[in-house]
Parts: sequence; structure tokens; C-alpha cells
Amino acid sequence: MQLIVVGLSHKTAPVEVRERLALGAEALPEACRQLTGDGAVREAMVLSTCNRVEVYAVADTAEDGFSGISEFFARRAGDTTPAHLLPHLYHYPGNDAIGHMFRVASSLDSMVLGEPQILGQFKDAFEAALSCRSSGMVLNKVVKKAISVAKRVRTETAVAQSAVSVSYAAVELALKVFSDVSRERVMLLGAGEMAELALRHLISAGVRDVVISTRTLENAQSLATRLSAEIGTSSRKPGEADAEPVTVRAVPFDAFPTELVETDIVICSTGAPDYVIGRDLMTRTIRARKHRPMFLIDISVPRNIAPDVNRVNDVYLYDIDDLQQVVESNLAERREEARKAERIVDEEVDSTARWLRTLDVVPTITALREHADAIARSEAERVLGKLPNLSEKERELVRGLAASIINKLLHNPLTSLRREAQDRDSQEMVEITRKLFALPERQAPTETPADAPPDSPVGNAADSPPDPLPDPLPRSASRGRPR
Amino acid sequence: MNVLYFELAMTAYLIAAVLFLVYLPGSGRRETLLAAALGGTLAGFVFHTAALTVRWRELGGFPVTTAYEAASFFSWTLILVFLLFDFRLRIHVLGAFAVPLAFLSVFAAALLRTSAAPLDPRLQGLGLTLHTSLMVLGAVAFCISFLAGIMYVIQMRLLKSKHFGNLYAQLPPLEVCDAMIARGVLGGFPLTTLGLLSGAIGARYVWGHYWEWTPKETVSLLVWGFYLLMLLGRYWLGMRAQRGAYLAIAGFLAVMLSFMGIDVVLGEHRHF
Repeated sequence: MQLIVVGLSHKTAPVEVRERLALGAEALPEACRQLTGDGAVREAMVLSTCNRVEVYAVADTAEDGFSGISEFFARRAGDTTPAHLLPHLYHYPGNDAIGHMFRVASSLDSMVLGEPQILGQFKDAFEAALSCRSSGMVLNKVVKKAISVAKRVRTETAVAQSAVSVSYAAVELALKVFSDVSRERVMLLGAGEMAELALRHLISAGVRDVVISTRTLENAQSLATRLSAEIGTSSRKPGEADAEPVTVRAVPFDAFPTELVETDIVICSTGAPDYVIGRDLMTRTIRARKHRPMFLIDISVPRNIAPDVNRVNDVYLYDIDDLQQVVESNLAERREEARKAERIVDEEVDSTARWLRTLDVVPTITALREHADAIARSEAERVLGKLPNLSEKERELVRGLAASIINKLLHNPLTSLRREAQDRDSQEMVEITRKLFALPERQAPTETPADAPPDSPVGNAADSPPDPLPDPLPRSASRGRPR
Repeated sequence: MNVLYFELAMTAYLIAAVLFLVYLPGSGRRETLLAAALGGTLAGFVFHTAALTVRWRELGGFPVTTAYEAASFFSWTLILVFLLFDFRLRIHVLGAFAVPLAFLSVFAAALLRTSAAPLDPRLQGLGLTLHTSLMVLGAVAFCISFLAGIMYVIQMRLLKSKHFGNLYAQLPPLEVCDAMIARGVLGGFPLTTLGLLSGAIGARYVWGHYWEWTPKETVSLLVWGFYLLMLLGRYWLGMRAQRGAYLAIAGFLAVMLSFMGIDVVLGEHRHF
């Protein structure tokens, strides 16, 4: 039994290929059902974002799983053979698959290193797999581990800290001037797309007072109406009902210089060919404000704020290149932190892989126990049949004696089986055990999960409880790592 | 006994100061380094408190009447205020400025200790203790605005020159520094006012006149006037932000001058 992943991402496939495979959230459960229904894999989870489409699965052998999932992808892409997709697909078995899953969830494999959305998408993918019961004991455990690894990476490293988009860098900079933007007034001058995005970031950072001014007042008004409507509906999250409402006003363009006096943050992006705000205006404004600092962002190209405005005391001006520089230095820091994160992932892969390997011996252990228990029971009953005069208590003693001999005898073999399984491939040990105790042949790995016995501890997907993490080692005598 | 505690405190402050200075320009999360620096500061503070308590009991009065004691009490209060600030506002970076300064101050105190002349018996009494304590507490408050002013100026320069490095990331926002400057001045001004008043009244009893216009008294009064103007100017003339930061730095340097500089420069040995 193997954990595998087959998929493609922004690193291996262009968007033309990715978009043909991408699945909407509503299509995920059906895809999972298809995958497990085919019989190629026992458990499956499909992750689909704009940068990656991946199937995580548990299969009896990696090869079967790989070909099954590749065919699934080919069908989705509308091809008859996977040949055309193959160059874009990566296939990882075993530890590499676990490591890949952990890195994806921790956003170490993302296009923008450390971006936070992926963990949510990852959780959604898991939810979808749970809802159609295509995730069984192995995936449940490993996926939950991946989520906790992602959280560990986020708290122990700075990989997800600091802004990596130009519009968000503006917010980060503003927060180095003002401690709490909820008290500040923001003016949007012009209505460029990136400027609007920066404004939205500021609003989600707490800004409650927005003024919009564009050359034509109607544009400012319609943007103001649109924004307040959107914010009015979207910012009413539960628990935030008391949050102060955001006011958005439109002012005529020729009135903006007077409005500046009461404005703390300006985002400027008009289509004007030359400077809209000059040094004189800012000198006057800052004096009128009694030197309360101002923060100006000029996202327009050509620039709309004269660069020497930055020389005015208590005025801080940033243009698009400055913001880009913030992003660059933050990204460099994230790459640095990603190395720490990789070490965390490696650690966690080791411990998860050890757990997974113990699963391989579980059927043997169960079979061995059942075999031994059967012998103990039948031998005890045989003896009891010859001793009809025993009291109930004495009969129990005889049964107990048989059971305890079996337990003592099995203790060491079972313990070393588990220990062996944690540290290396246990195949050989399993075979020897089966031969020694003449246990019935194992389920051939090629058999489909539908044929797996319903009481098999690994179980097929439908039999495993979706939520709790079942203990793979039944009646364990000495669980966990030896010593 | 108090000397031993005092030296232990000094050592702890030195270690904490070095740790803070290593922590300041560092990148990423270095919780252990920060924890060690804070731990060192706290240990120093405990030893320092012990030293002050022992000295208090030896003396039978609050130990703040010689230059050595005043400097020691100054750094003790500075550390206390820093720890409270850190506890409340989590501005750990302040430690990189406050702890080295506190160390310098105890170090100066240690140097002054050997040369401290016995106090003129006429000067002993509650009046002098009150006067010097208030002046020291006022100086600590001004010191906070001084340190916040330094942080402001550094952060302001980094923001203006667009150097977005680790130091930029570590330093608090300008507005926080500005608020600290304002609070320091607001706290220090009434303390200094009361300190000067109690000093004048004390002088009336000891020497028979309230005010003598000695260089020290003159400088003290000038400093007091400077902070008064700064306080008023902040609200009426916009002496805040960048200018406020420079003024806070200048003001505290003048305070230092009035505390010790004048004595040293003019060779005058009447300490109060």
C-alpha cells in the first residue's frame, strides 16, 4: 500500500494545460468518487487551484495508482491517451508524495511563496474527499498531518509574513507610519485598478473613512456607491457586527487640495500626463495639518506626484518602484525562511512515513492474533471437554491459561514486527512471519478494494470512519517507538 | 553587600544590552535571543532592586541624594519603565536603546561612587530626597521621549530613504514613537515642575533663599522652559512628528547637562 500523488502545477504545466484539468469546488466529490470507483486507488483526494491540479491517493502499488490517475487526467483533458499530458505530470510515491503534500499545504510550492490561500483550498479539497467518503484512514491521517505541518511552518517561520504584492506593500508601509489605520482618512485620487486594490487592502486593514476624487465626479460617485454597497454586505462577518461602518464619499476633483488637509493617506493613480500634487501644495497642506504625518502612494505611470514631495518634512511618498522594492525584499526574506520550513517538513515526513510503514504489518499482526486466538480457544475447549467436573471458575482458569501462553509467546514477534516496520521496509519480515505461522496468503496487491475484506484494518474508503484517526495497531502491547 | 548586588546588576545589564543590540538588526523571528535579552534585563533589575533596598536600610533614608545614587536610581527607574512598556505594549526594540543607556548610567554611577564626597549634613532630610527623586523621575520620563525620538529619527530616515531592511521592520511605526515622545514629555514636565519647586523651598530652609541663579539652577530652569514650550508648541505650532523627535532628543541632552555636565565643566562641587 502506497501513498502517491500525481498532478501538475505552475512549475510543470502552462495555463493552457492547467485550465483543461481544473475542477470547480462542486466537481471535486464526483472526481473523488470516480477515482476510487475505478478501483485503481483505495483512497483519493483532489486538489484543484488555479496553479495546480493534483490527486493524492492511496494505492496498492504505486504503478497501478499512477496509471489509474494518469488515465483519469487524460479523460478529463478529453484525450484518449495520457501520452500528451505525461510530460506535464509529476508522479511521486511514498515519502516524496508525503513531502510534496506537506510542502503544498505549507505554501512552499506556491507560485507566491508563503501565500495563505492554499491552506484553505487544501482544507476544502479534504472536505470534498470526506463528503464523498473517498478519504480513508491513511489519507485522513496524512492530510491532517499536512494541515498541522502548515500551521507549524506558519508559526515557526516568517515564510508567510510581510507583503508580497505591490498593493499590499502599500498597506505594510502605511503601517510603519500609522499605528492604527482605522483612525486615518484615505483619499483615492483617480481610479486605477491597482489603486482600488490597495484601497481595498487598506479597508480590510481597518480604514473606515474613504474619500474618492476623480476628474469626472460621476466616476467617483459610482465607485463610491459600488464600494460602500460591497463593503456593506461583505464586511458584515459574524462577530464583527459592531465594527464601525465604512463611509465612502466622492468629492469634486478641484476640491481635493482642500480635502488633503484632513487626509492622512493618499493613493494616487489618475491618468494625468503630469504632476497633480506638487511640492508647494504639500508644504502648505502639512503646515495646515500642524505636521501630522502624511503617507502618499503614487501608483500612476507617468507619476502624478512630484518626487520632491518626499523631501517635505513629515510627508512620506512612495512610487510604484518603491513598492516593488518592498515586495522584492520581502520575497527574499521569504525564500530565506522557506529553508527553515523545508527542515520542518523533512522532520514531519520522517515521522509520518514511519507511521505509514507500520500500516503494512497491520494485516499480518491481525491475522497472527486471530490464528493464535483460534488455537487457544479450540485447545482450551478440547481440554475442558475431557474435564466435565470443573467449576465455572476453574474452567475460566483453563481458558485464561491458554490465552496467556499465546500472549506470552506472541509478545516478542509482534513487537519486533512493529518495530521493524517503523524503521525499514517490512516486506521480508512479513513474508517470514506468514510462512513461519502458516498464515493464509495475503490479499494479492492487484486486487481491487471492492474485494478487500470488510474487516480489513486498512479498510476500503467507505468503511472507514471519516473523522477520528483510528489506531492502526490493534491491541498494541508496546506502541510507538521502542525505547 | 549592596556593592555586590550592584555589580551583579551592572553585569546583567551589560549582557542584556549586548543581546539587545545583536537582536535589533536581526531578521526573522529570534525569540530565544529576545527572551535571553529580556531575561537578562529582568535579572539585572532584581539585583538592582536588592542593591537599592540594602542601601536604603543602611542609610535609613531613600538612597538618591548623591550623584552616584541618583544615577543608580535613574537607571533603575528607566529599566522599570521599559519593562512595564514592554509588558504592556510589546515594543521590544525599545530595549535595544533603553538597556544600553541604563547600563551606561549604572556604569557612570559606579565611577562616581568612589569619588562621592560625604554629604553636607545640613542638606540631609526629606526635602532633598523629595527634590532629587522628583528630578530623577522627571528625567526618566524625558529619557523615554529621548529614546522614542531616536527611534523616530532612525525610522523616519529609513522611510524617507526607502531602505526597507531588518531595522525598518523591527522599529515601531512613527505614530507609536510620536505618542511615546508626547507621553514622556507630558509625564516628565509636572514631575520636573514639582522637583524644581521642592528644590527651591528646600533651598529656602538651608540657605535662606529660594533661587540663586547658579549655573545649575539656570540650566535647569532653561530646560524646564524648553519642555514647556515643546508641550505648548506640540498642540499649537505643530512641533510634533519629525520636529518633535529632534526636540525630544535635544531636551534630554540638556537634562543630562544640567544633571552632571555643569558640575563637571565648572568644577563646582555643590551638587544641589
